[in-house]
Amino acid sequence: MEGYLGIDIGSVSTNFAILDKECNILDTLYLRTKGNPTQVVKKGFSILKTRLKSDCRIKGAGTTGSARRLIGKLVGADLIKNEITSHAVAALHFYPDTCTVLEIGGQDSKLIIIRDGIVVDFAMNTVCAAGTGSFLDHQAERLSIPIEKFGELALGAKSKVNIASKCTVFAESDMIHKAQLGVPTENIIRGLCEGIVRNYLNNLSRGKRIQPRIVFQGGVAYNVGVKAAFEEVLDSEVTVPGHAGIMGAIGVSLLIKDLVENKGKGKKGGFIGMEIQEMEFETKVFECKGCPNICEIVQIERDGKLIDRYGYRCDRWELLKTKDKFNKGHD
Amino acid sequence: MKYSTNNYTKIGFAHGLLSYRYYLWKEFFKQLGFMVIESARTTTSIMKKGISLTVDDTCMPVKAFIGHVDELLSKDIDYLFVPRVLTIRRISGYYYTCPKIIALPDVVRAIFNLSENTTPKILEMEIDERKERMESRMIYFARKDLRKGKRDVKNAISVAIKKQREYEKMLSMKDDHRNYNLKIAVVGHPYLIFDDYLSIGLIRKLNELDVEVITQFIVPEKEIEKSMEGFFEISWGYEREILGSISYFTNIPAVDGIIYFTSFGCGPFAVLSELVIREIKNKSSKPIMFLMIDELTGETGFITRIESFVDMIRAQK
Repeated sequence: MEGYLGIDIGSVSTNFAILDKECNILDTLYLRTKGNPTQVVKKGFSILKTRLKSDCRIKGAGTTGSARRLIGKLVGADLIKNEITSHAVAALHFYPDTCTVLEIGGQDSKLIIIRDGIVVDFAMNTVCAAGTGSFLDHQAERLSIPIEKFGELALGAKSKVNIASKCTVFAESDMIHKAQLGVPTENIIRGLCEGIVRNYLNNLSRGKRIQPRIVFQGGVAYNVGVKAAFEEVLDSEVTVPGHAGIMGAIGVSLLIKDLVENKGKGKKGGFIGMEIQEMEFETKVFECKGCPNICEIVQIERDGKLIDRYGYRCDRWELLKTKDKFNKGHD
Repeated sequence: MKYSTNNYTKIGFAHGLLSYRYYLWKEFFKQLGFMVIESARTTTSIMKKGISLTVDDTCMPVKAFIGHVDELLSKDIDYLFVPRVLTIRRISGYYYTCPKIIALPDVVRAIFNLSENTTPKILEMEIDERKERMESRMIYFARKDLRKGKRDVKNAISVAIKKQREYEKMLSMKDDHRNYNLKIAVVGHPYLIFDDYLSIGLIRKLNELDVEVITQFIVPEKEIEKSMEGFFEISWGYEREILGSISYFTNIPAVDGIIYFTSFGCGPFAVLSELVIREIKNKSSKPIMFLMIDELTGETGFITRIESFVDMIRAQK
C-alpha cells in the first residue's frame, strides 16, 4: 500500500494527514506545536509509525504552514507549499462547489475566494493576530472553560451582548467589564464569538463577494459558536468539514500525491522517511557582520550536516555557492 | 536665499523618497561641479535609526529617509539636499504631492536641529510646477541661489535630463530579457518597490518564482490619464499615476496579475486607494493583490502572500 503524507506546521498546532492512492484518509494526527516544531514532528512521526500498517510505504511528503520551510528541509519534503493553496485544494477536494473558504487558525486567518474551482482572490490577516485561535484559547483559560465547550456555551446564550473585538487587549477589558456588570458568562462568550466574526470580516472581506458554498476550516471551525455567528452575519449556511482542523495537511498531501503520480517524483525528491527520532536537528541563528544590514542568518543542520540556510539579503550565505566556507568562526 | 558654494562644496543626498524618481537632481549637482555624497542603500541600521528619530505614525519610507539623513550627517557635508516638491505637472493638470513630502525640509530641520547657522545647511529647492517647470526651477536655483554661470547650468541641465530619461527606462524594468513564464506588474511608489530593503526584496522574490516584473514606468502618461477617465478626481499626482496604471494594466492581456505595493501609514493610500481599487476590481477580473508592509512585517507572511498570489495566477492560466 502507498501513502502520501502531508504536514501542516502552524503556530499552535501541527497536523499530519496520510492519504492513500484513492485519496482515502488513512490516518490523521493533531498535535500542539508548543513552540517546538522539530520536536513535535519527531513525536508525530513516532506515533504515526506505530499506527501505520507495516506494508504502507510513504511515497511522498509535503509541508505547509508557517514552519513549512524548516520542516520541509528537515524531512526532505518533496513539496513545500503555502497555506492558501493547500487549504483551497483541500476544500475543493471535499466540496467541488466551494466558492469561499474561511480559515481561522492559531495565529492567522485567511479568506479565499474561489470561482469555478479556481482561486481568484484571497486575503490574510496582517501583523495583528486579534480574533484568532490563540485569543480564544487564552480567554477560555482565563474563564476556566475547556475550549471544546466554548462554542456550545455560546449557543446557549439567551441574549446578545456586544464585545469590542478590534483588539485582543480591548476585547479582554470589555469582557471583564461586562462580567462585572453581571452579564452571564454564556452571553459574553457569544458576544466574543460574534466579535471574532465581525473582526474577521472587517479585516479580510473588504469588498470581496462571499458566496455559498462557504467552507469553514482551521481549528476555530470546531467552535460551533463562531460557526453560528458566521451563518447569522453571512445569512447563509456554513459547511464545516469533518476534518476542519487538518485541512491544510490534507491539502498538501493531495498536492504531493498529484505531483508524484503525474509528474514523477518531486524535483526536490528524497523524503527521508519516518525514522527521524534518532536524528539530531539543530538550528543555529547568528548575525552576519558583513555589512550594516546585520542579517539574521538561520542555519539548519541535520546530524551536523548543513541542509538549509536562510534569512540573508545578499548571496554571501547562498547555500550552494558557499558550502561551508563561512561556517567557521561565527559563534 | 543665497548659498555660499564652491567646487569643493559637499552636498549630501539621502537615498530615499523622491530621489528614486528624480535621478536628474543628483546628476545636475554633479554636473555643476559639486561633490555629491550619497547615503548607501537602506540597511537595518539606517532603518532602526530612522524609526528611533521619527514619530510613530509617519510612513516607513519617511522613517527610512530620516535614517539616511542621519547617516549623511556623519559624513562632514556642507549642504544637505532636501527639496520641497509641492505640486507636479501632468498632462491633465497640476497635482499635489503627499503632505509628508511637502513638509520634508521642515521635518528634517526639526528632527536634527538644523538652522541657518548650523552645518550642514539645508539646500531647500522648492518645486511648484504650477508656477514653473522643474527644469526651469532648477536652472533658476543654480543661477540665482548657487550663482553658477549660464553656460555651466545649461550644460548641466541637458546632461541631467538625458540621464533622467535613461533612468526612467531602467525603472520600467523593460530590459529584463530573461525568459519567464508569467508577467506581473508591480505598481507603487518607486521609493518602496525599488528599495530592496523596504520591499523585502519583492522584485527579487518574484523573479525567483519565475515571474517577470514590470512597473508603472512602462506606461506612457497619456495612457495613464486615459485610464483615469470615469474615476472621481484624484488630487495627488503620484497616486494618479499609480491608480491610473493599475487601471491600465487590467486591460492588458499580456499582464497576468497586478501587485499594488504600499506601506502602512501612507496617507493618500488610506484616503482613496481602497475605494478606487474596489471600483477597478469590480470592472475587471484581472488578479490584483494589495501588498502592504510596515516595519513589523514578518518575512514568512510576506512570502506566503507572494507565493499564493503567483500560485493563484498559475492555476487560473
